[in-house]
Amino acid sequence: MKILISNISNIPLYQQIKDQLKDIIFKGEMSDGDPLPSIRNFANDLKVSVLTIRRVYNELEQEGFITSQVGIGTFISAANLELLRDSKRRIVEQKMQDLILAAKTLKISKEDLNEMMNILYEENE
Amino acid sequence: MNNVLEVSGLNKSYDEFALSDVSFSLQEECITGFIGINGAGKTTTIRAILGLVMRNSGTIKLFGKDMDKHGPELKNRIGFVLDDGCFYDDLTMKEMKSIIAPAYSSWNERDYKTYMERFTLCPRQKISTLSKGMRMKFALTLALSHQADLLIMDEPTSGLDPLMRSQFINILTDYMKQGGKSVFFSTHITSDLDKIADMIILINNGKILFDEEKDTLIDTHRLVKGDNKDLTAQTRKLFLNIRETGFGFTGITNKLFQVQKSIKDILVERPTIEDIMLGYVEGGRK
Amino acid sequence: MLLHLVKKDFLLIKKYLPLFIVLPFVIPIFVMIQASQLLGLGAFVLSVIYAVFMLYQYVLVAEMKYPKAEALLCSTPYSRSTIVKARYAFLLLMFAYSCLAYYVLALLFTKIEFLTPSSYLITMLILVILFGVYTPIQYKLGFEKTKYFFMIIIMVSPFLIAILAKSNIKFDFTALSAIPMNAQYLILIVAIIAILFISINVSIKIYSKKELL
Repeated sequence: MKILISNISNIPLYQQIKDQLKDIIFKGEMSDGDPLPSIRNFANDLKVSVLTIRRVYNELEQEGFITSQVGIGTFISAANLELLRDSKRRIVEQKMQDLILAAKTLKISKEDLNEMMNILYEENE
Repeated sequence: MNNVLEVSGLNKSYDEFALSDVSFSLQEECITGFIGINGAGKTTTIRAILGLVMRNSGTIKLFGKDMDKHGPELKNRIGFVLDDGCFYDDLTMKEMKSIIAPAYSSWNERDYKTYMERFTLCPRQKISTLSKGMRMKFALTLALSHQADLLIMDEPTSGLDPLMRSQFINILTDYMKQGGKSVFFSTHITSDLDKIADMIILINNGKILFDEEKDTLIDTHRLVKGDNKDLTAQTRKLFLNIRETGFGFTGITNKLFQVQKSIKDILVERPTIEDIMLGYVEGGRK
Repeated sequence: MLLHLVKKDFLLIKKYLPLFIVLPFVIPIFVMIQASQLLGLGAFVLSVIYAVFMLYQYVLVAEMKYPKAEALLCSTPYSRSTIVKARYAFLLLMFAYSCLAYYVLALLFTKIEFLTPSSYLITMLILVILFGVYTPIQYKLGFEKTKYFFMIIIMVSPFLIAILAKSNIKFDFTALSAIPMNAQYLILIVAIIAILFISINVSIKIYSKKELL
């Protein structure tokens, strides 16, 4: 599991960790039922405060990505994953709608739009 | 989350110095760093918590119970390390321990032996012959050998070399792994706290300046470097403190967004706890 | 708990322990050889005063050497009152040992007479008055300001006892012997307990408010 915290980014620490964990789950690098490290070990390894990890775990649990059982540990909960993926998809779709609307207003053709998307997609890899 | 320690409205005056309305809480299962420059009030606060000095006003509660009413019972659960050990140097470690151990109802002889071995301390050795690092280790041994739930330490690493400070951090980390433990220690060597602190409390001139999660502190403050000519009356207000040289300025801000709007050409870095502390302490002097 | 604090006082004067083991034997023997007219109550009182107050002084000097250790002790669950009581217990222990030493000497030497119970009690009363008054003052002002007390005691007591031996001892006993023996003992015991009780409580009160820096 790879989580790298940036010292230069403006994104709060807990947000960085949370986002990267979500990525890992979405990409399927960890699956349903896999155990996550204990709060303390995780905090020690990443050199962040336990309060930060606690917040990450709490929010991820509320959003349905993980479950924690007192005394046993914290585990990936991918049951809601499909639902979440769908909702993420919907967000992307929504953004696309906005994009298309903007393009049409500026009289950018579908082909040009696709080409722009291809170039930008490559750039972001 | 229960509060392991609650200090409310602590006031203590001396001729030249006073603690004013010191209030803070320690969360359970956290390492809280208590920082400030020399003379800021760290030691006085800790002495007030331990009942070594009489306070003018305020309450101190440990594990939810009033320290004045339940002193001995609560002190059983506190492991402490005072600056420089405070031992009878003429005695051997074994003799010193024979005086201290019976004070605690949950003294654990096995833990004691384990720590003495781990720190390679020889019980029959006279305390006066110990180096500073060994004294600290012995003090830690005593503090950790009665199943204390809260460690209170006053500048435990001052005068220790970096290797020993790193060992100290490892010991604290192991202590916390047991679960249900909390640590409160004062220091002016903030680099140790960068590594292990969960909460930071800053005291200056007898007043608490902030009581924050360490990561939140570092997330909300930035070290900004830029050109002196960009410092105007307006932009100066955005910084907690500013250091100017012939080559540019360095400043701490908690208003990064506004700084970025006002000054275009800047270098932005995450600050260390020391940067932030100096920002508040030096800035407060103006 | 208290016992361990008494042990602490012993550990502090550890290197002088041989001296204090021997002192309660040496002084009466010295008196026996040099000033046998003072034998009896006078020699015993002298022996007790010297043994106890030299010990007291040494212990206070040792504590003063490491002022921060007080902070250590008071940060532990030991209460301030236990710490005070242990000091009194330590001094009384020395008194008890001196009594034992004198008794042994009386067994060994015919010149040294056995003391009556009232002699032991009178000595204890004198002792308790002396350190009962001194100790609270010491807790209030500290050893540094009050150390001359010891010098005075050590220097003055031989003379005082010699003077008293010549003139007053008979006087004291005739006054008291009008009262029955048991009443004598009772008065002495009550006086001793009362003085100790008051002194200890005053010391505890003072020490509980002391600031440890």
